[in-house]
Amino acid sequence: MSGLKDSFRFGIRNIRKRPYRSFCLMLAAVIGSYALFVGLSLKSSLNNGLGRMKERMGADLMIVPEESEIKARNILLTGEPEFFYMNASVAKAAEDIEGVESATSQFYFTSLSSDCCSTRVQLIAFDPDTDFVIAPWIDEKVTSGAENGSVIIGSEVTPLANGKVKFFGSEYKVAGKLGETATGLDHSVFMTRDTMHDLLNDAKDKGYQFLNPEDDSSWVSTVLIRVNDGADITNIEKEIYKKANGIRFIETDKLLSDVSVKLGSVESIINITLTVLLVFSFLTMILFFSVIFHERKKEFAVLRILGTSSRRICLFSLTEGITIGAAGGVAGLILGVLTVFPFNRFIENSLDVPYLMPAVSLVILYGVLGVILTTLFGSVSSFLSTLSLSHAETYYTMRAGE
Amino acid sequence: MAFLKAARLVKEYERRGKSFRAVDDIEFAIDKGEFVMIEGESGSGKTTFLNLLTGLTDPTSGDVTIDGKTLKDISDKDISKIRNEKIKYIPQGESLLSALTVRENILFPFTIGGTKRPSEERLLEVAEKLGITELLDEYPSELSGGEMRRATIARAVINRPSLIIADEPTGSLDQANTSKVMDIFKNIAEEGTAVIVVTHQKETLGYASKVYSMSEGKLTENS
Repeated sequence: MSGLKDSFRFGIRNIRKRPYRSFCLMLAAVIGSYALFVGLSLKSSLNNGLGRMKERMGADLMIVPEESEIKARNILLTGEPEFFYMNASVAKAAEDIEGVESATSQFYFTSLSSDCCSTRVQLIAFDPDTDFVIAPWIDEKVTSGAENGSVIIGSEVTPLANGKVKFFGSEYKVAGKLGETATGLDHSVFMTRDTMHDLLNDAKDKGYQFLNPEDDSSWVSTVLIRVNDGADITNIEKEIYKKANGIRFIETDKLLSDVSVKLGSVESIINITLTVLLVFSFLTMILFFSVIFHERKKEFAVLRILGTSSRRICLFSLTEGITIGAAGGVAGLILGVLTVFPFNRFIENSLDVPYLMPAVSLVILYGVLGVILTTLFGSVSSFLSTLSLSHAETYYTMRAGE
Repeated sequence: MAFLKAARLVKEYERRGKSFRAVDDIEFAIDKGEFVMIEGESGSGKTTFLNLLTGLTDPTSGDVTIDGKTLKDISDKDISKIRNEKIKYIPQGESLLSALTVRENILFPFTIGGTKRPSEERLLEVAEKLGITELLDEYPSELSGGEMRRATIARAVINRPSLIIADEPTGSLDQANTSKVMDIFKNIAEEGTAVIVVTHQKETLGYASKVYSMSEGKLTENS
């Protein structure tokens, strides 16, 4: 029989024969692996979310009605359905201003969580002729294009079993689904203004009036502006202020910077917690192995008496360390998976920052990394604990064990 | 040439800043088939002497030669191999591995050494002689002190080694079992194994072909 095979068998027997001791050691490994997997997944999801948000924002500037900035931020960041309006003339105010490359308006309203509607989501009407924010995503994901009478749904919106969505009693064909944006827009449904007009009429018929459908073309919720490279945004805002009243600006860079700051704080907390837990896991394993092996001095002395070399004794305990570290690592990974995936939405809502799970391959890598790390913890701590004992003279270790 | 030879063997320790000799300039030799017993009071250096003979403790000075190999000149791996294959050491107290059954404990040296295991018949023969047949599948925690001692002796004698060194092997045994064990040692010596037994029990000295006394680290042969 090979030495490695024997070492493994003997190590396993020792682990099984002392279940409580093995459980405590394994728990330290579970904590390490769990912390690493959850911590790295969270960090990656946050960075991924911010990256995707930057990529998808499209506009450099948003014009919203006075006192609606928070509502607009909510739509973008959390997907909380909101509605607010201002006169459509604001869209005209953004035209012909130096530095403005393109401008488009959107109209926000909401569905309801009652029998009339599939679910309560943000409804967004856009102008396909001037749009530069939605269209790029649709081109990527939609096969049949955005048509009147059909809608585009965000990545988190689930259609009915027949593939349609229902708002205010009428069903609408889903022309396509967008990719994840890590923003509130994932929970939104997009349509042309003509489709919006039909929806507002249906809403009015059901007794829900956002504004008079006969007059809806006079109102917009926001005007999105893309500026030329190097343009002075502050100057553009001043020029628009001269032409329109009762408005506020949300600068995308500022919004992203605010999110970055918040994300930085969350990331710092994750880093500190992760470091503390990993150090705790490693030190606990060293301490446990050291105490346990000290108690097992006599056993090591017996092994020496029976003709086991010091190297072989290290191999025996290394097997125990590796097995416990790996088993604890796998258990921690399973716990981590059971935390990160089912509570994905809860974590997203709790953190209140863009959150987008990384690719499966990266998640698998984090899991493997966690198991490797705790296996390493187990092997290093068992090896260090054995090293001192295997060099001690057997006579003394024998006496100490008695 | 003697199978085991100790030449000018010294082991010094320090206690409270003063050094003392636990083993003091011992000359000793034993050949295969000899049955030697060593008596002496507690603290006279008997266990240290046995540990030196088996290479478990390094001497301060002097040499131990086993089967022509001087221990200080060979590696830990080679000394371990000698202990595994040629010498069976029965230390004081309990020395069974708690994670293994009695059967596994008895066969464990063969697992470590990768050597051929004795037959089931041989295992049962030894177990029968020592009265532990019914205990082969028990764990050490389920055995009494005497039963553990007999299992340890079974582990030592099963492959008829070149040398058996036993430190107080009958300490926890009753009269009947003491006689059984001493008979086994005597028989195995007659079959060609060198046997060294350290004991407090003067009534067992009659089994030996040579008796030594140890006092304050010095070994003297009784006339």
